[in-house]
Amino acid sequence: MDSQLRRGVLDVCVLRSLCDGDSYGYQIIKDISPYLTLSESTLYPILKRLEAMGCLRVYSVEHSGRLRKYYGITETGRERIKEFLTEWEEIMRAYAYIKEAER
Amino acid sequence: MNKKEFIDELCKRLRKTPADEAERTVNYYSEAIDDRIEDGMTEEEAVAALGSIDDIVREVIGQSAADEKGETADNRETEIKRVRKNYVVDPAGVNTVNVTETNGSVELAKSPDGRIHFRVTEDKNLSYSVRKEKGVVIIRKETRRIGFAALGISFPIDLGMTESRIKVELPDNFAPFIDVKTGSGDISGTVGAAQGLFAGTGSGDISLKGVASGKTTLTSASGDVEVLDLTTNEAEISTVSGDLSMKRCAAESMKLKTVSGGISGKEIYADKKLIVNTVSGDIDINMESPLELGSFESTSGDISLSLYGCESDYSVSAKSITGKVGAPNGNESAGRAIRVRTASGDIDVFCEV
Repeated sequence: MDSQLRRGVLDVCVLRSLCDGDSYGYQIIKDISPYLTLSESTLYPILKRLEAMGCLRVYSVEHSGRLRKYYGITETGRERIKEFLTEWEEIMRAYAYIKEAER
Repeated sequence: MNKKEFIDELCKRLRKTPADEAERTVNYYSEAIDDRIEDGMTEEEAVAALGSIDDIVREVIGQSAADEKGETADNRETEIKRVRKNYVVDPAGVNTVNVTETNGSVELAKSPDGRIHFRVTEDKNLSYSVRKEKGVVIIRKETRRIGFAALGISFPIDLGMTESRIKVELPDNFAPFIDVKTGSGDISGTVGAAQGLFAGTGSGDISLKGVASGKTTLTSASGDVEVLDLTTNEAEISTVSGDLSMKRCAAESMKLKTVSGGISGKEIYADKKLIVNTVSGDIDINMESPLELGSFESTSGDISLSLYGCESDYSVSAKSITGKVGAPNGNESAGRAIRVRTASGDIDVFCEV
């Protein structure tokens, strides 16, 4: 997949995984894994980018004697998902149009 | 790879990355490993599951370069801006100059303008602080460090340049106590006059010349020590595994010591006392002055001495267990004792009358 496109899709998948509740790195990877392969080295910059965009809030919780970073989706994050779905409809229309030529 | 190895490697590779970014990244992956271990993986499996360090570093470096430039370019290394700085201190009222480096080298030189100069290069992770307190001028390296804990051990990691250096320029007619320490850097240069001189390094070499100092102590653990043109009351010069080499050195009393390195002295003036000691190094000393008390000992090395004639009484002993002892020459006279001993080595004695 085109890297720009893939990045956009992954961003939204991560946001989607947080719609079911706040989560942490490893859990996010496990939740997404049935749909997409995602490695820690891919997830880390995504989380950073989403945080910088204000799509996530980040906080630490003590967990068995150490700190674990949790990520939660913000309003901006939810907006981003909506935007993506709208954009995607347009892409789907383009897809249908492209596909027509194949027939 | 276990967790510690992984984290060490990651820190090493992120050295050029801004400190907060590097720290965040290390914490993130440290947490990722812990979460996997908690989920039932072994430490090695957890590390392997993270993927390659190359990928991790590429993502971080790509991103931080992009952050700085405000664009989304990948694979671009962050350039760290380095700035040359010169800290200038008025020597009035100063009696001690204290230099503390960690891994950088220290060079001593003469000041061009009668003031003390500390010339250094700094970057955003590395700076120096210079303080003047009750006659003591202290220059200290301040590296930005990230500390993180893995397996209950904390690892401080220096984020500054891997190679740093302080050039210390001291005025003539100043003669302070000079105290120079570095962990792994070299100490070199021309010292000039000093009330006293201490130079210590862990694994660096010491190479000093033109020293005129009260008491002189030079010590390295694994580096070589080289001294040219030394005048001092009392010298203690030692290295554990490096070689020690002295030329044109004068002291009332001199102690030279190594464990495995050789000790070589050319044109040595030590009118009162000269003690030379090594376990496995060779000793080769050439005296240019009379010597009242001399002791030369090597357990397994060879000893070769050339002594200067003496009008008064003197006592010299040279001892090696398995090495060869070639010594000493000198004029014969009552009250002079020369003892030369070896357990299994050869002995050569030349006496010129």
